[in-house]
Amino acid sequence: MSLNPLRPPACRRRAARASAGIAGLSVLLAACGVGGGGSSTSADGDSPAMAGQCELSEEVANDQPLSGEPSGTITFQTTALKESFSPYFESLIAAFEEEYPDVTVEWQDDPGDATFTQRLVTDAQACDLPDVVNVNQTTAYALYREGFLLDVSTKAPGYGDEFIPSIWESLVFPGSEDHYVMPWYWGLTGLQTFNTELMTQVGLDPAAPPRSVLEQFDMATTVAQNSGGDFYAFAANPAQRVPSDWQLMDAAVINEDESEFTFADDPKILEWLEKYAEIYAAGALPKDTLSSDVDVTQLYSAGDVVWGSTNASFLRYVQETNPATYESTGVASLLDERGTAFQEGQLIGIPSTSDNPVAALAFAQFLLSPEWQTTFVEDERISNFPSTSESLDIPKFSDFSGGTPLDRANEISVELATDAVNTFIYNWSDAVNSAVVSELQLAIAGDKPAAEALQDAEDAANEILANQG
Amino acid sequence: MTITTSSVKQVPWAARTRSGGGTGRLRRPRSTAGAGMYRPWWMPVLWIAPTVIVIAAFGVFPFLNTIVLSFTNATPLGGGGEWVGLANYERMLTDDNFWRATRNSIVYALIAVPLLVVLPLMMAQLVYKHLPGIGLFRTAFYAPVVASMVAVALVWQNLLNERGPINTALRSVGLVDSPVPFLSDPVLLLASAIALTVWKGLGWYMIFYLAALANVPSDLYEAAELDGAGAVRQFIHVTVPGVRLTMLLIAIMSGIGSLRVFTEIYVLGGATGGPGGQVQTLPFYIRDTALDPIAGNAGYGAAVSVALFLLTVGLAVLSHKFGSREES
Repeated sequence: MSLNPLRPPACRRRAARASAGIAGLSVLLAACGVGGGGSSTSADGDSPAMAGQCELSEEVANDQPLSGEPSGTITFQTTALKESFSPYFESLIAAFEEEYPDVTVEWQDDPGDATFTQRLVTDAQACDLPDVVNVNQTTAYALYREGFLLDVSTKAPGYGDEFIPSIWESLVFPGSEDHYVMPWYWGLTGLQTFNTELMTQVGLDPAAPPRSVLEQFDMATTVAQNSGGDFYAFAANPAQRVPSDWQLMDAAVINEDESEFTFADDPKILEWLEKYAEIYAAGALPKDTLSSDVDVTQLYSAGDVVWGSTNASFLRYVQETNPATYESTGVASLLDERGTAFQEGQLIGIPSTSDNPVAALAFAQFLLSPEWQTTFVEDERISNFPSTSESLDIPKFSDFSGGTPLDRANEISVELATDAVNTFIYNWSDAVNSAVVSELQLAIAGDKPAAEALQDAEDAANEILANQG
Repeated sequence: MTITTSSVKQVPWAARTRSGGGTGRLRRPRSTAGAGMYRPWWMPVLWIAPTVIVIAAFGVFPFLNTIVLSFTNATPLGGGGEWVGLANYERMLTDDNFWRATRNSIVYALIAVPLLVVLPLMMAQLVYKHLPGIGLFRTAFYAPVVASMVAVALVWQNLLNERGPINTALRSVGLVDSPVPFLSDPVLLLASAIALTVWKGLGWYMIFYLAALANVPSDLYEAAELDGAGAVRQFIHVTVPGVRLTMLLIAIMSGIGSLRVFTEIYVLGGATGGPGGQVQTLPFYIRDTALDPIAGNAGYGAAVSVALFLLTVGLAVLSHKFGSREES
C-alpha cells in the first residue's frame, strides 16, 4: 500500500512549475537593480543638456554665472555627522535661513556605509540628488564624469580664494581645468601610530619608529620573531595600504594623465610585495585579516597589533575604548621617499540637476565660509583640518602643550599640513581597487609569484580603465 | 462536470444565450436588480489593477529592461548606452572570473540546499510534539531568522577568526596545533559561509515543516505503528512522503536563496570575496562588475544577471523534476 496520501494533482504541479519560474524571475530582478538612459552631458544648441537621463535647466547648462536671489527649498546631505554634530548643523542652517529668508534647508544625513555611493548613484539615476551634497573624491569624480556636478568655476567665477591654495588647486579632475567640487574638511596620510609597549616587548625602540614602508616591514619581521604569536605587526589586508604605500614610496602607480596604470613596472613596488609576502608567511600579520574588512581600530585598541591606523582621528576611539593602549601610543610621521603627507578630503558638490542652484551655491558657500568652518573644527571631537586658510589660525592648531598622543598627532599633522599634497588617483575606482587587491592577496598568501600577480593586477586595472572609457 | 439540459433546469441562473433554446453556450444573465447592478464588467479589472500595475512596474518592466540592458554598454550613472549585440555575453563566457563565481554559486547551492531541506525537517520533528517548555526550543531555533544577517555574520567572523572561541577551543583540546584558517583558506571560507547560511535558514524552513506536519493524518502513523514500523520507518515512510511537497518548495526556495548569497561572503571574506576573490559568488561578481559608479558596466552586469536567472530557473526545474520523479 502506498503511504503517500498527498500526491499532487496536475494543477499543483503546474503551479509548482509556475512558482519556480516566478521565483527565478524574482532573483533576476533582485540581482539587477541597474539601468539608465542617455548620457549626453552637453548642450549642442538643439537638444537639451543632459546628465544621465536628467535634463538640465538652462541656467545650469549655459556658460553664464548664476544670478538672482537665492530662494526655494534645498536639501543638504552630510555623511555620518548627524549623531555627533546635530547642534552645529542646526545652528548653521538657522543662521543661513535667517540671512536668506526665502530659502528653506532640509538637512539629511547618510550613514556613509559601504553602499553610500550606490545610494547616491540611485539618486542620480532618479534625478533626485540632494542640492548640496557631501561626497568623497571617488564619488565626486563619478558624478563629474557623467555631468552631475555644477561647474563652480563657471557658475561662481572667482570663488575659491578663501581656501588653502594647495587644496583648492588640487581639486581639478583629470581632463578638466575647472572646479566642480569645493573642499570641506580633510585629513592626512603620512602619520603612523604604534603601541610603544608592544614595540619594547619585541626589542624595538619606540623612539626610533620606521621612517619608510619597507623599514616598517623589516620591523614587522622582528615582531613575528619575538611576539610568540601573542600579537602582530598590523592587519594583513593590502586594501588598507594601497595605493598610499606606493605613493609614499614615490613609486609610479599611474601615468600623469591617469590613462594607464604602470605599477607593475616599478621595482620598488615589486620589492614591497615580495617583502609583504615574506612577513605574512613569517606570521607577522594575522592570517585571517588577509581579505576580511577587519576594523584596524579594534585590533589596535585590543592590543593585537603594534601599528594602528595611519590617521589621527582613530586615536580618539582608542582613547575612549582602551585608555591603557591610548596612553602607550606613540605617534610619528612616516613619509618615506616622497617626503610629504597626502591630503584626503571631504568635498561639497552641487548637483547640476538641482532645482535651486542659486540657493544651493549660496548655502555651500555659507557652509564653507571661514567663520563656520572655524566653528566646526574647533570642536575637540574633530581631528581633521578645515579647508580655509583663516580657520587654521586657532589655538587648537598651535597649542599642543597637553603632551597626549592626540596632541602629538595634531602637532605633527599641522607640521605636515603646510606641505601636504593631494595625490588622489581618481581612476583608482572601487573596481580597480578590488582587482588589484585580489591579485596582491594571492601573492601575499603565496599562491602566485609577486611579479606575476603585479602584472595581472596591472592588466586587470588597465582593462577596467579601458572599459570605462 | 458536463452540463446537461436537465442540469440547466436545476440551476436558476443558467439560460440559453440564444432565444429558442437549442445548444447555445450558457451564460450568466446580467443582473438588472439588487447587488448585481453595482457590479459592472470593469469592476474585477479595477480590483486586480493595483496588483497588475505593481507587478508590471516592479517585476515585468525591470526584467525586460535587464534583458535589453544586457545587449548594451550601459553604465550605472551614464545611462542606457549603445547596442553592442552579444558582446557582453561573449565577454562573459570567456571570463574566468565569471566561471569561478558560477562554480562557487553552484557548489554553494548543491551543499546548502540538501542541508536546508533535511535538517529543518529533523528539527521540526523534534519540536513538533507538545511537551512542556517546547515553545522555548521553537523560539530558540527560530531566533537566528529574525537577526540581521550582517550582525550574525559579524558574530560568526568573531567566532571563526584565529583567536576566536572556536580556534581557541580546538587548540585547547589538542585537535590542532595552529589556528584553522576558516577565514583565509578559500575552501574553508566557502564552507563557513555555507554553514552560516544553513544555520540562519534552519528556523525559517522549520516553520514550513511544522505547518506541513500538522497536515499529515495521524491515522497513518497509527497504521504504520500497527504494521510494526518504528520511529525511523515512520519518519521515512509516513513523514517524508507527507511533507514531500513542502520539501520541494523548500528546495526551490533555498536554492534561489543560495544562488543569491552575498552578505555572508562579504562579511566573512571581505570586499574582494575572499583572498584573491576566490570565494566570489555570482551576485558578488555582478556587484563588482556592474555597480561601480566609475568603472561599472551595467550592460555586462545585466548579462551576468540573465545567466544567474537561467541558472536559478534551471535549478528550480531540476528540483521539480527530481520531486516529480520521486513522486512517481
